[in-house]
Amino acid sequence: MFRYIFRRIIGLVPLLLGITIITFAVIHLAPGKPTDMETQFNPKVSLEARERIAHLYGLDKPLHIQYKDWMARLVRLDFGTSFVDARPVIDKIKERIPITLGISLASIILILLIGVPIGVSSAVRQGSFYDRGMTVFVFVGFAIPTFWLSLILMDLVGVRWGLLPVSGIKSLEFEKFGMLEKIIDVARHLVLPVFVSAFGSLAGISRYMRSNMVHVLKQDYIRTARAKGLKEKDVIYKHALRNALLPVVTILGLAVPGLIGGSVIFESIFSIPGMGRLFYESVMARDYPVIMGVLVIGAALTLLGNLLADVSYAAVDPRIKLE
Amino acid sequence: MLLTRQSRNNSIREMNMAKRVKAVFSKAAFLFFMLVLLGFRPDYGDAIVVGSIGEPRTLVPILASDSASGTICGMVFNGLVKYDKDLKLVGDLAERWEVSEDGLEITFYLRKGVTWHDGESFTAKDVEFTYKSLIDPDVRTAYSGDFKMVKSLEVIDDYRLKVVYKEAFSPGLSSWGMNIMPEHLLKSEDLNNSKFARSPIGTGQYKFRLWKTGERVELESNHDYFEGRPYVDRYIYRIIPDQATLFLELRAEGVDYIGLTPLQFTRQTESRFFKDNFQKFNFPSFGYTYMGYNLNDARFKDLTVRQAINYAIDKDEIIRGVLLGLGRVATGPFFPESWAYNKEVKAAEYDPDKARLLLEKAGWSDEDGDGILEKDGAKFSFTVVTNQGNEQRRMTAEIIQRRLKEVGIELKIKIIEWSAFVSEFIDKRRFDAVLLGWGLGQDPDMYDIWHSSKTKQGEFNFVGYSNSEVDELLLAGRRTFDQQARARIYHRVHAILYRDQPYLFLYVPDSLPIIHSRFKGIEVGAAGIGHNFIEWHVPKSEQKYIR
Amino acid sequence: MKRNRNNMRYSLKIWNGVNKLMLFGALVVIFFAMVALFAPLIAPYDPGRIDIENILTGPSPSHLLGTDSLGRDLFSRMVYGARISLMVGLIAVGIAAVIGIFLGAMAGYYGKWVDVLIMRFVDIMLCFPTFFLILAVIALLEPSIVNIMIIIGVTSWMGVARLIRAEILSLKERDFIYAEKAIGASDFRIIVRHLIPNAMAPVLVNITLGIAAAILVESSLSFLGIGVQPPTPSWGNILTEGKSVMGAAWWMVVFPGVAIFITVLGYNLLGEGIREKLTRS
Repeated sequence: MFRYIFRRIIGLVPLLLGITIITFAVIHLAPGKPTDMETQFNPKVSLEARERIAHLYGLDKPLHIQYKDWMARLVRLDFGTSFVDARPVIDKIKERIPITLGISLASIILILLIGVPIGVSSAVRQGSFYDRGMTVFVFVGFAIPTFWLSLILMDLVGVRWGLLPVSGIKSLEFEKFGMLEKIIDVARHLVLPVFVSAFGSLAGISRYMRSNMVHVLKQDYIRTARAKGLKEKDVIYKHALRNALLPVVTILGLAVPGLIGGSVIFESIFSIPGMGRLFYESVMARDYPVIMGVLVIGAALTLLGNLLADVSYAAVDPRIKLE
Repeated sequence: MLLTRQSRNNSIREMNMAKRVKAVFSKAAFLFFMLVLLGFRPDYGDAIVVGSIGEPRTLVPILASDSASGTICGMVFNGLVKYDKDLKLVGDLAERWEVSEDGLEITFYLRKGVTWHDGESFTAKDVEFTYKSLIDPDVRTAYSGDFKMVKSLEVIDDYRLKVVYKEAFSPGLSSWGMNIMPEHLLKSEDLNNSKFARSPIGTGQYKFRLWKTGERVELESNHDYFEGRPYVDRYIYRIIPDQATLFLELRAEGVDYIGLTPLQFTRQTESRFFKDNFQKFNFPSFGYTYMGYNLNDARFKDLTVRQAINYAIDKDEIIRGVLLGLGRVATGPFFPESWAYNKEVKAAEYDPDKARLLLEKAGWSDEDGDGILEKDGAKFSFTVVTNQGNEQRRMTAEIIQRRLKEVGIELKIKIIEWSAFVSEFIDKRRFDAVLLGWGLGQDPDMYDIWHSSKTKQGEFNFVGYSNSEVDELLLAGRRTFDQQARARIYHRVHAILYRDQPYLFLYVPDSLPIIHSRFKGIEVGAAGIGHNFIEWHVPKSEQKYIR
Repeated sequence: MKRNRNNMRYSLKIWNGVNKLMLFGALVVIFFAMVALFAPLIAPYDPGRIDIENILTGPSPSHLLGTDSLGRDLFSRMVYGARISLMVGLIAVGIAAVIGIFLGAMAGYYGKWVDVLIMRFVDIMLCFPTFFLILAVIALLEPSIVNIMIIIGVTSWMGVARLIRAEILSLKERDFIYAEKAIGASDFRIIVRHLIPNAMAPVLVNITLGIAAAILVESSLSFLGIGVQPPTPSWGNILTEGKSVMGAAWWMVVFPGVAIFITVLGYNLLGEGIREKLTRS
């Protein structure tokens, strides 16, 4: 097992290298340049000035030299500075990761807390009115466009009823609050975003959970357990549930990139300064160092997440051998 | 001072402001006037929360090229000159200036007693430093072009300096509206990577306080401002990247000041709530939208074809449909309220029959009866490219598409994300036509857009327009300082451009700001609102953000 | 004895329940397919007919679902939009399923270096945010309906591949596969006849959710301005336009939103029904 993990980790290095090369090539070959600036032409910005700026960014060097320079800095864990505002890339990422990660974790926990019980109970009461009701409920969440639900809730809860703040993550007077007030303030701001993102993802987990559970309930060992005369409750929660939960681990592994990736549309609507917006804005501005930084950190975490999923899957399912 | 004073134009009277707003506004102005008469001063205090889609990039003014950065820098810094509410160039950090007879030398006399926010005095050394940074090849400024014509800058003493130009260059004067940066803080800094970019020190009406990335920038009033302490204590610039959220925040009174869309202006802010709590304004914005032809394309080389298209498109229809009436027809590249704008140039009436006739004259006819014209066996079908993220341009393109079809021209629409659009289509000249807008500066110099030498890759005459008379006029306009003489020149440019139709000039949209009604003293000028920001104030009883 | 009867009732109930929901799903799917197919017969107006005098008017007898910001009939645009949206959903997921099932089965069955190679490729693909992949492909292809289907397809097969592989990994250790191998069945036969059908259950859930997701991805592409180009209507670009006017014109978001929602629900219920049948046989 440990040899396997060690080998996988060593294997990640060439993988990451490959990812950086592909990414670097793609973003530099994709149309557009960092010197295109803004979304409007400014006749005051002369051609000479644009060329001069390109030179100062080192964009007039051959691509492989630019990659070499970038890599040389990366091995010293220096992600470079943003073209847009000249701040270190790592600073820009550092101030945003906690926000996105916090919201993602909160919503994943909420999804598991609601989604798994819905899935299990629907499977047990398969075909009942409850089951059908839940099916429709989770798909409503899946099918409602995020922005639509968000704006309606903001309008109702935030504007009309005035119960919660409309957008953002902190109040304007945040700095003057005491510790407790600060926590309450942030929590109040996060209620709607976390609810919206969790509601949208409920269908995935709960349907998956339900189909696993239905599958498991038909297995021989469940029949055996019932034949042994175990109580139905024990059959379901001791024997079936544990086995049905296994594949959920894989799904969670797949969710890792989303954990720190964030979502542009969602973050824009709630005006949350998260990773999704940073990435989107960087791509639009062709801010190469930031794009590379976000992708490399994201890729590294994703690969680790996958590894973790594989290992834990093997750990809990004896039928799978890791070689 | 050689610049002749232009009598104040009557733009304000022409301004198409909603009646009710006007009533509220004049009532407020009247009250304000009465209070002043009675010896009351407006109250200090409160904060204004401005909502914005974009986040500033950098607060080093010579590096800032986006509008959010420009807005904040404009609050924190000053230039030597500025445009007043009637679009007249007046002194800002410069008290006055002199231009020599030959137009080659400008002498600025600086204001005395101005201090930076950290208490140091402002002197001519700061101007010299800013100029040197602008022309330093290692500084990533986009504005070096304006200062290429400067031969030298001499500091005479602390409050006098002389700028010598290589040749007479009238737009040069307005380029000194560039924000001046403090030498004592920046002389040993690398401007490209300075901490100053997120904690600027200026001479302006507001002092920088804090910047929370992705959330807000906060400024506080400068009690020692040379034009007097602003009444509103804090200026908070909130970043809300979605237009729909921005509007919800306005309704929740989480922001005090945003720009509306035409639909929000006409249909969503008419309720009791908005009438009671907000004041709306509308006035022409500094920009126009056009469809530019690729003039190297054989079809568009033919002036008759371009004129035909001008007759085939109903500009009023576009303004009613896309702007809900909140805009005006553009007939040329100048701001409608400026002295350079030629009011004699009249927009052509919508006349599809005339368009068909002209197209026939140009040799286009529908030979195979499919409703689309042909010439030498080739169909008249072309693609207009525009940038993503601008609903108004998309809708404009769709209306043009429909009208062109009626005269037998097939139009395809392609919407491309900005950066790819610039490098793949504009820079490589790979387009039949583009639908774009130009923002307008206050100075009418348009050498970079219309001169026939500016057609290289990356330059702004990307349609490939070339007219020797316009070339000469543009040069003459740059050499002339007398405003009346310049006006004659640009009136001629305006007329020729409308005749030549290198662009299909479409419309000048209105700016549609909405501001919370607790703010009093807002004055509308030809350039809009904001020029008297330091006089905006909130009566004590209505103040909302109290420290 | 008693337990047995209970089980009988239980399964009968399943049959009834699933069938009703599945029937509903099937009806929805067929309904919208018909709408798409016969769009020119159903739509009362030309979906491109601009009418500046009737911008954003609410539902009325002459415009059943109201008009959009250029005064075009929303009902007609929705009907034509069904064509585009359904086509994008189906074809994109078809592409994703074919790639995902093929690579996943290969990896799961052959294991060793084939598995390592394919799964590392999956890992690389999963490392890039979908949005980045889409942007990269758009850069090379330019937006058009066909390209959008390809883009969604080639950027969304990884989930299917991983699921198929995981299922096959555990299935191939089962007795019946050993039995097949013992009687000398070919790899192809084992994979296509036994492994893939048995591994399909979770994948089907994934695919049905995928069709719906593809319809939603198309709408987010419109959101980012790289979707179906105007004036062609799709549910996604109608909804996007609706967002900028929703405060003044609820019908511009409600109708496309509801259409997407019902379609998504329909595909899911149909898929679930099929899955129940597959596992039964």
